[in-house]
Amino acid sequence: MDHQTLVYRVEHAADYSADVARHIIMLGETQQKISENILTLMSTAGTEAVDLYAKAVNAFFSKDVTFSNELLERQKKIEKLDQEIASKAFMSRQKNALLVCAICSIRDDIRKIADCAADIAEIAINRAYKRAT
Amino acid sequence: MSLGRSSSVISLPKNWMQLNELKKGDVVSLALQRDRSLVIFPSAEKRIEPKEITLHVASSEGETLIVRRIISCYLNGYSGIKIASDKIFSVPQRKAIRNIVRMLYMRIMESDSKSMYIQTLIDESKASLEPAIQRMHLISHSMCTDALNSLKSWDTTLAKAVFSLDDDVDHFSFFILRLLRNAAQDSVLQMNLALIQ
Repeated sequence: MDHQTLVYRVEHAADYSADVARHIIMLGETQQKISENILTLMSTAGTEAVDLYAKAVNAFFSKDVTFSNELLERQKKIEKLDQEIASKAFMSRQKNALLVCAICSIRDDIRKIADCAADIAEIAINRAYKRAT
Repeated sequence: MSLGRSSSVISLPKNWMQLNELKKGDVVSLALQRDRSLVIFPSAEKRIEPKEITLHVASSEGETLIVRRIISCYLNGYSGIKIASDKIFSVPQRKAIRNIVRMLYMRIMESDSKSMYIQTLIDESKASLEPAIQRMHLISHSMCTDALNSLKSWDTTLAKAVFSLDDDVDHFSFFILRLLRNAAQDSVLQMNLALIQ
């Protein structure tokens, strides 16, 4: 059961990154760019989410409870960055619908990768205390 | 329990023997557990008979449903799937079957206008779970990293490479889920995959 959930989350993380890539391709084709300040925030949140995800998978296999709990705490930082990206995207002067939609989707994908990481960290904790059968 | 010279002897319950279709002289295997209990497995040889199924497809059936049915059969451990159409396969139906066959690491062994026989060539008894998940994770992680890099550097070529890797993750996902579903019904496979702690 734990392995099955892990496989689903790993698959979802790949799907979300493919979705980020899809939006970059789409914006590239229409010659549109995300503003520098939003891109910096997205990059910070994304790096944090991907790092969280990689460490959560490692924690699953090492059954590291303390580390898994730290990962769950770090997810809050991403939530904060996510809100910051949202407010900047809507408050900026960029009113191009395609661009705003792409920013929202990429932001959503980054948050979902972090959610996958949090789910994996949670299974890692639960797995560590599983009784031997 | 009765005593022999160097071991003790117990008899197996008759209804368990009947349930596992065992008779006198058949081989059973024993496994020592962490809690020092012993588990008796009926001979694994009888279990590895390939499971086969026939799917009847209507000529009007949508490609999505056909694909879903094939995936379901694959995940439920069928090694051979015969797909039979009531008339002849349409071009989109045939194309959809070929695509999903490739995705599931299967091969088309026989094919004509009205039927197809597809088979998986992977021997699950030799598979290992954790390395498979680790490999799947490595691809997924590299996709995440490269997607971010393409965002930072606005590199659409890298983004296209990321997008194309998604199929590789799906390959692994289907294979591992099949393995886990099979293991849920097969205690020998559970032992082989180290799922029993």
